[in-house]
This record gives sequence, C-alpha cells and structure tokens, in this order.
Amino acid sequence: MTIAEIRTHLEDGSMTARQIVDGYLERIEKEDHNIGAFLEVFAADARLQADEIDARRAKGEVLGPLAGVPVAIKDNILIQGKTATSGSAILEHYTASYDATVVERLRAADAIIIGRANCDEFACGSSTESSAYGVTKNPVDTVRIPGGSSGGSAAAVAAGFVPVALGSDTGGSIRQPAAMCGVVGFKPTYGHVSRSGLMAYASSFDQIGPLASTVADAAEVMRVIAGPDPKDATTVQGEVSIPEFSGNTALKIGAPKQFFDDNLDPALVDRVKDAIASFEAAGATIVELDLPILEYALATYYITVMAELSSNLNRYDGLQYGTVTHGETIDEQVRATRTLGFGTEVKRRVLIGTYVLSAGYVDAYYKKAVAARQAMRDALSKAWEDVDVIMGPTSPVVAWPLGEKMDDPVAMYLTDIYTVVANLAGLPGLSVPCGDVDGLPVGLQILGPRGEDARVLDLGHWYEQQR
Amino acid sequence: MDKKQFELLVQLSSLNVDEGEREGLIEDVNSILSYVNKLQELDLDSVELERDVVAAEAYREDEVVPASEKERKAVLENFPGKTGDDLLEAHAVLDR
Repeated sequence: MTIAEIRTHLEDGSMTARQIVDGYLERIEKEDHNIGAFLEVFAADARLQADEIDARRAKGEVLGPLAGVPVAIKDNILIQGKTATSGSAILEHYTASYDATVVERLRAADAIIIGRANCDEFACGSSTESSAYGVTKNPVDTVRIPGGSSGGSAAAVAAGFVPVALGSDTGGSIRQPAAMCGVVGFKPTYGHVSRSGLMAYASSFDQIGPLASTVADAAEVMRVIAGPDPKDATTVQGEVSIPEFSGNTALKIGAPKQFFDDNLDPALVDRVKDAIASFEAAGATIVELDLPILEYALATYYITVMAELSSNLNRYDGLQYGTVTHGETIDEQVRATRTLGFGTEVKRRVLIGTYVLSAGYVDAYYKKAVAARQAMRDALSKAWEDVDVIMGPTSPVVAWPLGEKMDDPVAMYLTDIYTVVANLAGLPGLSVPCGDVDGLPVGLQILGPRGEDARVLDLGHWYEQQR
Repeated sequence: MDKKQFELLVQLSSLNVDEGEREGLIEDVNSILSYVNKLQELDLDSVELERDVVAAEAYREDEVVPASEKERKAVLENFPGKTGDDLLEAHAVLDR
C-alpha cells in the first residue's frame, strides 16, 4: 500500500490502523526469515500504537499525515529505549537513551515505528554484508546482495514489509540499495534533515532520507522529517518546502560523460538512456557535460570519509557504553575492546583514515582530498549555470551474488562511483527504478543543485507516472 | 606500506591485529592506497576553500537542558562499569 492508500482506508473506514499494521507484521513474520531485513520487529509496540490511533480517530481527533504508516528504521538511527547497533558487535547491548529528531518527527506525524533494519557496520559498506548480525538478501533474487549500506531498509520496502523506511546516505547508502532492490531512494540536500540521533560515520557527508515504493511516498516522508533542528547546527535555517508535484519537464538535463563509462554493461546504459530520452520526448533538452574532475570523485570520497570515520569512531572505547573486552590497563582495554568489537571493513577504514590524517601524510592525502572536493563543488556550481539537473545510472552494476566482492574492497568501493558525487557536493539525489537487466533492477539517478530537492523529486515522480 | 609502518598505524588506530589477519589487512590497505593515490595527478594549488559548513546564524546560546529521568537512567544503564552511586568506573589513566 502507498501512504495515500493507507490514508484513504483510515478515512473511509474500510480498514483500521490495527488491521493495516497486523497485515504488515504478518508478512514480516512469514517472509523475513528468507530476507533478513529486520534486526528487531516491535510487534507489540506497533499494535499498541495502531490501537491508539484507531481510538483517537474514533473520538474524531485529527491524525498526523503518516497516521498508521509503518516505518522501518535503519539501525544507526536512535529509537529511545531500543537497542541500536549500527550493525556492529561493539553495540550489541547498547540501548538508545533518546529519539533521533527524525524518529521524534515520525512519531509526531503518527507513523508507526515497526522495527530496526539491518545495515553494514557503521554504514561502511555497499552490500549489507559487513553487518555483525548476518546478511540481508535481495528480495528480487535472494542469492544476491540488496546493496548497502541501508540494505535492510531497501529490502524491507522491496519485500512489501513496510511502505516506507529510513536510511542514511554517506556516499550512496540510500540510493544504491534502492537501485539494487528496485525501489525509490532519496538523499536530501546536506542540512535538510537533522542528523541528531544518527550515529556519525562521516559528518560532513551523512544525511538521513526515505526509501519507498513511489516518489510520492518519499516526498511525503520528506515533508515530515525535513527542516531546521537546533540539535544539528548544520541544518538549514529556513523551512524546507516540498510542494505538490508540478510535472514540469521543460528543463535542461545534463548527462556527464563521466557517468557513462565505456566499460558499463550496454544493457544497463540502454535502460538509463531510454529513461533520459523519455524526458527529452516530453520537452526536456539534453546537454552532454564533460566534468573531468569527477574521475577523481571516488578517491576524494574515500580519503575524506575514512578520515572522518576514524575520528568519529574514537568514541567507541568501551568506557561509557558498548561491549567491553577486559584489559590490564586502560590502553590495553580500549585496544582489545575495539579489536573484538569492530569488523574487518571498519578496521580497514579506521586504519586508512588514521593514516591519511597522520603527520607526514596529511598534506598528501587528506588536505589534497579536501581541495579536490572543493574543486568538484566549484565544477558542479559552474555546471548548474547550464543545466537544471544531472542524470545517469545510480550504480555501474546491478545486484551481484552474495560474497562476490567481500575480499576485494576496491571492487566494492567502485560500485559507489556515481553516488558519491552528491555527498561530496551536498546535493539532493534520487534513485528511481528504470527497468531491469535480466530481471535485476536498474536505477536512474537524478541530481539537483543544493536546495532543489523538490525539483529532483518532481522529475522522478513524472518519470514514474509515465513509465 | 611495509610491516613496520603497518604496526605503527595499528598502534595509532588503537587496535590490535593478530598474526592471522595481518597479511590480508596490509594487502587491503595497500590496494586502497594505490587506488586513492590517483589524486596525486591533480594540481589543486589554485583551489580556494569555502568555509560555509555551518551558517553564522546557526549558532545559539549554550544552555544546559537537564535530561529527563528516563534518559538519565538509560545513559547510566549503558555504563559498562559502574559504582553503587551511579558513577562511571574505569581503569586509572595515570599510574598509581
């Protein structure tokens, strides 16, 4: 069901919130053992909340815009009183002491927080295989990865376990799994959604956003979660407006040649080019862009995020929370705790992040990458003088078999090559399904200038409607 | 990166690496570094960094807002080591 369908059911009395929630819970119970989207399902809480909504409705109270809508929450977002692990063994027994701002806002909108969705450890991964709590499988083909790091959220939507889910996107972690699972994923402009209560991975990149089966539903969730928050100084000052869709396609669409590498599967390129051609047929102008600096986007991204990760993960020392491994001295204890608590991919990234920030290497790596990031922002600012949006594939590949890239970190990282650009420059980015290659979904990525979330969603919605 | 450099890096990262995973991690770190080394091709001397991460109007007074009893309890319950009067217990930082 879409959010609009749920609303209609509640309004015309054809279904109660309890019946809606029971339907979703039943499906999760029956099928999630094959998928592994959830780390925990809050069945009792969800039913209780649904009953309260029905009682309030019976009394004639006005309900929130997401009344009765079950939402899955990526496990790096805090829900008060619930375990929050971010897919890491070090937080196996950690209980969140407060609600993330996004969770607070979902509750205020009467949404139903139905469970914690699996993810790569501390969001470090592109396949959800680095979670300490097991892999999540792609509902489209269960021998394949669901993408990552918000793989549990994407799989939950694709499997029909929830109408919408929240994920977080540092370099593609909402859009890439959305593409792999054939659903919609939206990364807002940096600062449009509060990060308060999101476990920090790379603070200047991280952004929470929705995964949904339609662009309209992603926009509905944005209307609830976006906007300034005094608890996150990087949020925008004014309200974030996501108006009704206009359907305007008379725009200039940039197609950077760096997003259409010669080595891509021609069938995948065809799906994306067909999608772009449908905008052209509806009045859009296609502009071929050449942005050579984008060839350095992935290297720039990995240096800067690993640096930020290594600093952010210093808090996991086992002193105030987390699973502790005993040591004779404080230093030994901290080392032992982190060694046992972190998985291999997180260790790789902490090591490299520490290296690129260390004396003697900081100029050649970190500072160089910060300058490259600026050069990319400058090149994109210039590109926005000529085009209104940029389009290309969300991912260079479709969902691959489980385990295939686990021993080759660089091959895994390369799957983020087109998504990292939005995070480097703080842009809004949408992935919307645009067909398949041998049954495996392909995503069309739409990027807009900073602050133009509504434009990106509008085009995604138009495309989805005419397909 | 050689073994000796790698050991220093492990120390600096507050980790331990056992014999079994060392070779693999060195190999991974080297392959990632050789990929990101691509950046050295760029001449970025003329790039001017913006400093607009936090807008000036975003700053606010640093007010103390007491946590709710529920939050306080949850924080205390997460302490791995705790003394009877709700104080955090940890190893001494300095030698006794």
